[in-house]
Amino acid sequence: MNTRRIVWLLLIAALAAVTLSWAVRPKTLPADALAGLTGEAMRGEVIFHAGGCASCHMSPDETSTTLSGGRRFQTRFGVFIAPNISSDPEYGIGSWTVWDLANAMHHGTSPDGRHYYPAFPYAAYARMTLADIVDLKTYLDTLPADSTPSQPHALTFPFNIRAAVGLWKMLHLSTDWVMTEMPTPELARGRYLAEALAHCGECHTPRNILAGLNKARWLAGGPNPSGEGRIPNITPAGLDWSKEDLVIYFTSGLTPDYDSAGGEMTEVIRNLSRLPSEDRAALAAYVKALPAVR
Amino acid sequence: MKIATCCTIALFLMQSIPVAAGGHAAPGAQGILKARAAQMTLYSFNLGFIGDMVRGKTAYQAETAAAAANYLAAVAAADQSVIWTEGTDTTAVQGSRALPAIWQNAPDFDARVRQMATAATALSDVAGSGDMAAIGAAVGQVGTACGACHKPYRQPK
Repeated sequence: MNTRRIVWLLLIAALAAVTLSWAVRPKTLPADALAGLTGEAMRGEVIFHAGGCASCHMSPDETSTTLSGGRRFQTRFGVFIAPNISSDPEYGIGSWTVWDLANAMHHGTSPDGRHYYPAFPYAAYARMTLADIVDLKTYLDTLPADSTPSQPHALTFPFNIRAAVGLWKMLHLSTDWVMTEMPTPELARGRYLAEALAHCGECHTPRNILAGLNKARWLAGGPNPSGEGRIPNITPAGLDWSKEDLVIYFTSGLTPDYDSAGGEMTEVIRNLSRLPSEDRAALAAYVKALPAVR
Repeated sequence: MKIATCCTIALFLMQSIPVAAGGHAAPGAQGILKARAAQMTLYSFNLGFIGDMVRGKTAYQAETAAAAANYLAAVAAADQSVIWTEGTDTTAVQGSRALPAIWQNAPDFDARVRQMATAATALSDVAGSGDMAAIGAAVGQVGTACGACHKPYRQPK
């Protein structure tokens, strides 16, 4: 009787382990997911700036605009080092297919089938349309190659266990919108820019104990994820700027009282200032539509 | 004798006050922070004067625009070594937002401060001209110079 019970328990435990390891495996898109889509570099350039790719992946010395990687991000999990995503076929991602890029951006899965750490904000990019990813790939292919080797992250235990990222994904990776009611096309575009591309929530939303974004406090500010200090609350409870104030800030980096953006936000401004003006207006409309969170 | 004792006590108090207030703070650190804030206030006040004209929030007046731009250029070009004193960074003084990187990369910091002066001078060259496109562009360049320092050297609040 007892032996039988143990055998059953072992079987259930084994089944649970198999189910869990299946559930947390690195996922990919269906092989034909991108069929019929062709990229356009000019549209891809807008995606590139809105997605803020260069902010993390550009050379740390600021003298070069190539996507050589190497910027270091000190976080409570350890140091993340942005990889080379230039068009170099060996050291960058020049040899990737567009399907490889889509798997990276939608599922956080590398071409060799490993989990990427969510410092790469695929939790936002997962909401991107596949058409936009195809355009982005076409644009990335036009950018210069760089042969700086990518460096491994220097993470602390247990965060250096890459398989654990599968659990993180199971808990936190969702393509649902945070703001569900966006009644105008401008607001819907603003939501797409904020929640899918510009990944505002990665810094402006605090994280819960399991390192996922606390969506009940969406964009309500929190501790700086890579450094000291706090990232501000940009809901109406923390920010009373007009829509026009926001557009001017996104364009010039100047606040209504003529302070300037600082820290990582200067990079965000540099990217946003390159978008079509309607996109800055859409983003401003989205920020104004946020529920106030104290 | 009495005077000497008083002096000793006074000196002792002067030394102990900053220690009590700010840990490892150098004497006068809070004063330096105030002076830096004042420098920044003069930047934003004068830039705002012209910026509001560019935005159309206030009517353009050539003389006041020129005066504000000249004031901005003067404070930007001033020797600021006395307000950027080593030992007044975020790790040393309560309330400081000046990152230690300022003193680790001093030549780069100085170059960015000079760039602010260059951008402010360029604004003062056009502020009284009435050419709103040129003034707007020059305001933008000053804003870029603000951000160029605030990006690596100012801690988020």
